[in-house]
Amino acid sequence: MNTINVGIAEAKAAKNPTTLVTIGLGSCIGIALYDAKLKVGALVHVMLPSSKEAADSSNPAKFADTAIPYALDLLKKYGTSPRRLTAKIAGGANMFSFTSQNPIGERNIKAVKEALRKHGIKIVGEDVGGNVGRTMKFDLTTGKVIIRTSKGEKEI
Amino acid sequence: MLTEFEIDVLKEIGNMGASYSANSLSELMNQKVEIRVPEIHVLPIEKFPSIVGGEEEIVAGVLVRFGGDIEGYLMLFYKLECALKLIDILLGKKIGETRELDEIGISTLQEVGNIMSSSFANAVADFLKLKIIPTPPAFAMDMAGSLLNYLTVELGQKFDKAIFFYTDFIASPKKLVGHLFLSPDENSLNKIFRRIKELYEYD
Repeated sequence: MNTINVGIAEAKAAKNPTTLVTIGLGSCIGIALYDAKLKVGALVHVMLPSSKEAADSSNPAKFADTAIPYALDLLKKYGTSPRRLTAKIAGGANMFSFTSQNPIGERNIKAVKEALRKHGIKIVGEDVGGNVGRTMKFDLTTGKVIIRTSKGEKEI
Repeated sequence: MLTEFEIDVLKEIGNMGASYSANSLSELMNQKVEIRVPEIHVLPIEKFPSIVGGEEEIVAGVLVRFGGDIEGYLMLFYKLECALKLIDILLGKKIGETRELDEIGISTLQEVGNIMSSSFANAVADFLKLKIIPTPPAFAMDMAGSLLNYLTVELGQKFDKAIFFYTDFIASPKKLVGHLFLSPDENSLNKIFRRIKELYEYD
């Protein structure tokens, strides 16, 4: 089985048998998009809510609003249709307690959910918020997403 | 982006701040603390977490935000075993006695972070004759990658590139290593360079 690592502000698409992994999500959000029929998926590691607030918005995978269309484009090459896709999301934590007012993790969660809704993609699993770091392992054979934290593993 | 001279200036200033930090830790621990030759990195912000290997290593981190004339973040972190050793030393216990991080341990680490970052800030502020005010430290214990991810996103809201000063401090007999990251924001950097020119009449 292949393992492909997805770094911050990156998006990768692949087909079965592959595991897509993104390590150390803090306030960032990992979005796993899956087409169960073709066993094809994409994992995106989004960093910020909106490309419109950025000076340099040249990397679409970096922002929630541009990351979804970008990932859909990557998936199109494998023949997936947006109607078949489901999403699992994780991250958006507030690791350190002193940014209490409207922390960026929360804004990321909201922006990602909005972007998915806009593209008609249903969220079928999530592990977001709180103050824990997360690693995401997305198995394209089954569509399962394993979330690893300092406290253990669970499946969403 | 930065000239060689500017990088040298940052190295010198960072080195001086880190030395004062190390001295303050040395006094607390009552033993010698050394700092490694500091590094300056200028990177696209998303490359930041890859500077430290072992992104899933569990670390104890203390984060301090600076305000005043110079804004930015300073993060100190330790592998868990080193954090526990440090707590043992500071609380006058036998090495190995503290097995997990409890509230006393956490507030000890925060206090160390407070003292070290204040020494850093004071040294730099005195030298540049600028005002630097550190916030009370925040604590987190988690994967190194996630703590740096937090910092990356905080900085990434304002900047596409980031400048990092990075060093390790080492208390050798006890094999205790801490890591120190400092990232001033870009406007503050320009202030620092302007100040250096004013103070030393360099053109």
